[in-house]
Amino acid sequence: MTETKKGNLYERISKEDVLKILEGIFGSKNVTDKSVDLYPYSYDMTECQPHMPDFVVIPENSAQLIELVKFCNKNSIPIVPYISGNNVGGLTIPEHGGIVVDFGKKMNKILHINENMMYALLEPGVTFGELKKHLDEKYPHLKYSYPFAPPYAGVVGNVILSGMNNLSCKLGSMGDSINGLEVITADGELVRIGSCFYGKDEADKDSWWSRYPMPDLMGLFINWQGMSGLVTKCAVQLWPNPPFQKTYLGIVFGLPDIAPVMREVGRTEIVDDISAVSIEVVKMTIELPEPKKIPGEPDFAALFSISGRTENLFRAKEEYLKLTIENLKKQGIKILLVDVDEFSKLFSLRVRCHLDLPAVILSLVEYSGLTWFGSYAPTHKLEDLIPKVNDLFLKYNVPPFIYMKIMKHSHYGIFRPILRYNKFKDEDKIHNLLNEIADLCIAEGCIPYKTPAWMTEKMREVINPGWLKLFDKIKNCLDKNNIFNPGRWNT
Amino acid sequence: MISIQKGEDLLSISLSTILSYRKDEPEFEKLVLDWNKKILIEIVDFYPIETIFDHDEIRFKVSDIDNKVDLKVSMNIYTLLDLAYGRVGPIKAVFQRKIRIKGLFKFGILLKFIKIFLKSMQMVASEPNNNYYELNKQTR
Repeated sequence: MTETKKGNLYERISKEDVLKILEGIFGSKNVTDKSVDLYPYSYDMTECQPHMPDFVVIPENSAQLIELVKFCNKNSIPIVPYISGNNVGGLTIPEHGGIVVDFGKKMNKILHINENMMYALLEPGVTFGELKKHLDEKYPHLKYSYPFAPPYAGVVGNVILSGMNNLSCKLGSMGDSINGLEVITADGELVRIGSCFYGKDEADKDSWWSRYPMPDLMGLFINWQGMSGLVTKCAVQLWPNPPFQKTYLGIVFGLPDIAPVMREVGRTEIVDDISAVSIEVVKMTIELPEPKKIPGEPDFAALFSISGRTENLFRAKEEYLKLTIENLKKQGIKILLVDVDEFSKLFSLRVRCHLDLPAVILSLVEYSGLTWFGSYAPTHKLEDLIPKVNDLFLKYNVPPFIYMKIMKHSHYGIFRPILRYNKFKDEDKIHNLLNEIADLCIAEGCIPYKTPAWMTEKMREVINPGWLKLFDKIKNCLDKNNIFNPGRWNT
Repeated sequence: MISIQKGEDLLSISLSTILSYRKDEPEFEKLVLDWNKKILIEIVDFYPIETIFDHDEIRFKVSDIDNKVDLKVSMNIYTLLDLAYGRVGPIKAVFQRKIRIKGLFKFGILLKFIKIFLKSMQMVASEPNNNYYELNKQTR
C-alpha cells in the first residue's frame, strides 16, 4: 500500500476541515478520503512511482469546480484531473497528494453535436466508446477518429495531450482538431477559448466552431498535462463518414525499409491513416505473448486506410496507392500489399482489433505493466532509430514492439517503442530498457509526449534554456501556488 | 477429433486458422485422419513450411525447400488470396504457372491436398462473420 507524502499541505487547514468543505461542495456521496477508495487512483500501468491522493471528488458541473479551485488555490492544495487512468505516463498519479478530480463518473456528457460545422462539444469524461456509439447511432454520416486505445479511454484527455488517431496521416496531432475549450484557471475564473469566446454568460452551443483567428490561448492548456488549469468542456472536430473505405496491409521485409514506405505513402495525400507495428506485435495479438521472429518472416506490418465519397474517387486513390507501392518495389524495397479484410480472415480475425478502433488490444493488456517511449519523431531519422531500438529490445530479451505513424502527410512521424511487463517482477529490467531507449531517441531528436516526470527531467538537460525559462514564467503566471497537477514536467 | 498445432510463425498461424475452421467436421476428419503425409508449402518471399499430417494430428514445421516430402506447392501471396476468394481456380493457376507443384503426378495426394487445403481456405474466406469473438465464444 502506498502512503500519502507527508508534506505541509494541511498546515493552513486540517484534513478534517478540508473533507467538510469538499462535502459541502460536492455532497458527501461524491467525496472520499478512505484508503480503499483512494488506492486505485494512486498508480497506473507504468513504472512511475505510485502515490496516494488525500481525497477523490466526483464533480457534476463547472460551478462546483470553480469553488474547488478557489479553495485549493487559497490553501495551496494540489488538484489532479482524472478521466479513466489509461494514460501511459503516470500523468494522474498525485505525486504531491491532494485532490483527484474524477471526471469520468458524472462529467461525461456529450453536450452537443453540430452537424453543419461538424464538431462535438464534450465534457471531459466522455470516452471514445461513448462518442463512437453516439455518432454511429445518431449521426452515422459523421465520424470521429480513434486511437490505438480501448473504448473506455477519454476523448478530451487524448486531444489535450496531442494524441494521434486513425485519421492522423490526414490531420496530424489531435491537438490541432480542438475548436474550443472551457477552462477554470487558478483564480477560479471560467475562461472560454476559441470562437465560443463571445458572450458574457453561457456560450451558444453552436459557437464552438473555430480556434482562430484571435490570439491562440489554447496553447496555454494543450500538452500542459493539467498544469495550467482545469478543462471542463472541449469541442472536437468531426468529419464526414465516407461510404467507401478500405484498409490495405503492407508487409515489409527489412527493418529500416518501413521508413521510406511510410513516408512515401504519406506524401501521396490520399491516405487517411498509416500505422506500422513490428511483426512480433502481430503475433502478440493472437495470444503469443513472447513471440520470436523467425528467419524469412517480414519485419513490419503497415496499415494504410483510404476512403472516398464516390466509388471513382476511392478507386483512383486505390490505384495511386498501388502505383506508389510499385515504385517503392522498383527502388528495391521488398513489400507486399494486400487487402487486410481478405488477409485477416485467412490469418486470424484477432488482428482486426488494429482496424476496428477503439479496441482492447490484447498485446497491450496482456501483463500488469505497460509503458512506452511515445514520441513525435523526425521521419528522416527513422531508418537509424528502428534497427537501433530493435537491437535494444533484443539485448534485454524483450520482443520488439515498435508502433509508428506518419502524421499530416509525412510532415512528421510518431515513434513509439512499447514495453509490456510483469509489475514487481520485471520492473527494473524494463525501466533500464526504457531508459536506454529514451536516451537514444532524445539524442536523435524525438520529443516524447504524455511524458512522465523522470523523462522530462532528461529532456530538460537538452532543451533550450530560453524555452525552459518561458515555460516556468508561464506556469508561475497561470498557477503561482502550483496547485494544478504539481510534479509534471518537474514543476 | 483432429488436433491442430497452434502456429508460432506467420505461415503456420495462418495454416492453423484455415485448417481449424473445419476440424470438427466429419468429412474433414475422414480426409485427414491417418493420412500421414508431409506437404511442403512455399509462399514466395516468405519461407517454406511443412504441414505434417500424422494420424490424428496436424503439425507445422518451418522447413527447407529441399526437404523430402510427399508434395511441394509453391505460390505467392496474391495467388493464395486469389484461390481463396475464387478469383482463380487451381487448374488455371497451375497452367498459368502461378502455382508450381513438385509431385504433380501423385494425383491421389494432390487431389486430397486440394480437398483439404483449398476447400478449407475457401470456406474461411467466404465466412461472412468478421468478428473473432463471435466465432470463438470460448476465447478469453
